[in-house]
Parts: sequence; structure tokens; C-alpha cells
Amino acid sequence: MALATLAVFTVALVNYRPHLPAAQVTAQNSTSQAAQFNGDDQRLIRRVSQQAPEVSRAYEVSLREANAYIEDAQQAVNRDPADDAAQEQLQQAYQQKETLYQMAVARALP
Amino acid sequence: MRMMKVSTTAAVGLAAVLCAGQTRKETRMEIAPGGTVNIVNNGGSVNLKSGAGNHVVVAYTTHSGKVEVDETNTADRRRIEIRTHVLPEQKASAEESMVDYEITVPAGVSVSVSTATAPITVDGLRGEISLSSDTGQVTVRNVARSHVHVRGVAAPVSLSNVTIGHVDIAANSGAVQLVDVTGPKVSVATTSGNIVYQGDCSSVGDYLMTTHSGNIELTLPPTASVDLTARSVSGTVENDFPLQKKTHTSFVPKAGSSFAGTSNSGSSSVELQSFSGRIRVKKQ
Repeated sequence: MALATLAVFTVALVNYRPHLPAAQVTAQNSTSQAAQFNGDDQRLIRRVSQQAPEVSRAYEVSLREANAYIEDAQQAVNRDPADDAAQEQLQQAYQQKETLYQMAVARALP
Repeated sequence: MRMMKVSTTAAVGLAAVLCAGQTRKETRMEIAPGGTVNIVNNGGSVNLKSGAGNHVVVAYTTHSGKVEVDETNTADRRRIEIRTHVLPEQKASAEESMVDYEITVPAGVSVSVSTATAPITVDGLRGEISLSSDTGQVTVRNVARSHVHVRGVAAPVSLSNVTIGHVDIAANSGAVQLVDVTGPKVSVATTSGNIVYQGDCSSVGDYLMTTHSGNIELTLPPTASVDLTARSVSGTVENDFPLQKKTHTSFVPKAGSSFAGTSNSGSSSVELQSFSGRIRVKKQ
């Protein structure tokens, strides 16, 4: 059972790809829940807390901040799709989240 | 590839019992020029310094008998793996899991270190340096002509006297401090961590510092030759450094939110970007 859970988690993390949105996005895409955790985020935190409880809080905080970064940048892009600074910030935000996922995968693998 | 395991019990070197539960051991492993050393150690510390010759010297202290250090070297001597792990069926506390490493590495050997809470200190290495820590302080000093990659979750990062480097830091919540760090390529990204840079941004380099809510503070000497842009989406920008206004920019500077200018011949490109953090450029 534990092995199966690990396999599912690992597949989710390895397949995680931040989807950079197109410049033209609808307000609906800029979800107010972005700073919350989605299913993958929750699995990531759960797995890290099992493997390395001493750093799980750091992952949780950083993941929440990365999500807030994405949400803020997304909203700025929505307001002005031609805003290069906002576009670059959105790209950076996704890269920060990707870094967290890469580190979590390394941490979670047996 | 065939790997040879270096038995820690048969290791050449010193094995001494220190105090309750602590054991110190030292091993020497030959490494080929251009080889790689990979180190994984969750807690404790990892200190690396440069050495002469063609051997990697690993001295480590364990804090309990519940952990083991695996050291392996490939048959061609091109890759050394050093990995701390808890022994099967053992429940080790954070303190019991700690291992403190002192590692000497010859010039030209690449190093990769991964820790959870253990601080990493690198002094004087020459080669590719890749450091990753969740929360442990990362310190790099006296490194030249190297690629330095640092990744952290909430790990504070400090680089000093890192010259002619390719520096790439993704620090998330950790604060980043750079003193006398020069390119050709210096890239720093955080989410909430502050970024502090003190130096002259020389080497005709590209310098990019970006953050979401952290602050960026750049202190330059009057001799700095930079082509500088600072932009914040919703934060503020301040400039106390004498810059000549640029006649043409790719964006329209907006007082308090962005500015652009050059000093001296503007030989290095410096881009500072934040979403809501404050950006400040100061004269040294």
C-alpha cells in the first residue's frame, strides 16, 4: 500500500509541468484560490512531511508563497497582457514553483 | 558502471570515538581530473574546501550508531558518492541522524551537495558547484571561474568573492546576500526572500535579480559600469546612485515604479525586477 502511494506520488511529481498561460487569459482563469493548495500541492506536502518532517513547514510556506506569486502575477497579466514586467514575473513565479517541486521529488524519493 | 564501496570500517584513516555516540572517520579516495563528487546529508553540516593532488579526503563525525555513511567510487574514479542514511529498522531523531562532514576536493572536480537542514559551506573550490538545501544556510566564498548553482526552499544564501562566475540562485523564501560576486552571468530569483548585492557588477556581465515580495538592495561603487533597469509591478523603486538617463528604453519609465540609466560605459547589464517588493539602488 505504501509502495503504491509512493508510486502515485512520484508519478504526479515527475509529470508536474507548470503550464505557462497565454498572454490573453480570462479573468476566470485568475482564480482567487491560486494561493491555496491543489491536489498535487497537498500530496507534495503530505509526502515531504512523511519523509522529512523537519522541513515540511518550510515547503508548506514556500509553496503558499509561490502560489500567491502566481496569482498576483496572473492578475497583473490579466489587467494588462502587454505588460512585459508582469509577464516576466509570471514566468518567474512558475519557475519558483517548479524548483520547489523538483526539490520535493528529490526529497521524497527513497 | 561498476561501483566500489568503501567500507567505513575498513577505511584508511582515523576512527576515533569522541563523546557519547559520536564517531569520527576519515577516508581518502582517488578521483580523476574532471570527476564529480555527490554528497547527500540531511542534517548536521557539510564543509568543503579545496585541496591539492588527486584525492578527495572525507572526514565525518556521526552523532549516533543509527546512521551510516556510504561512500562509493566508480572504477574509473570519475564519480564519488557520499550518502548518509539511517540504518534499517532504526528510528533516529533529528539529532541522531546528523553527520558533520569536512571534505577536501582537488581543483577541477565538480561537486553536488543536497541537504535538508544541514548548512553547506564551500570555500575556494574550482569546478562546477551545485548546492541544494531545504533550510540549511548555504555559504560560498573565494570561488573563481566556476558555475555555481544554488537551490533552496527557505535556506539563506550567502556568496562572497565569487568572481568570473556563472551564478544561478533560486532561493524561494530564503534571503540572498552577494558580496563581490561577478559574472559573466549572475541570476538570482526569490519569492519572498530579500536580495542584497554589494559589488561592482563587473566582468561585462548579465545580472538579473527578481523577486515577488522580497526587497532588492543594490549597492554600487562610483566606478561601476552598468546599464541598469529596475522595475516593480506594484512595489516601489528608489535610486540614490548617479545614473545617466537612457535615451531609449524598451519600457516607459514610471516614477516610483521603474527607472533605467547607465553609469560609466554601461558595460554590464543589470536588471532588477520585483512584483511587490521594494527595489533600492545605492551608492557605496
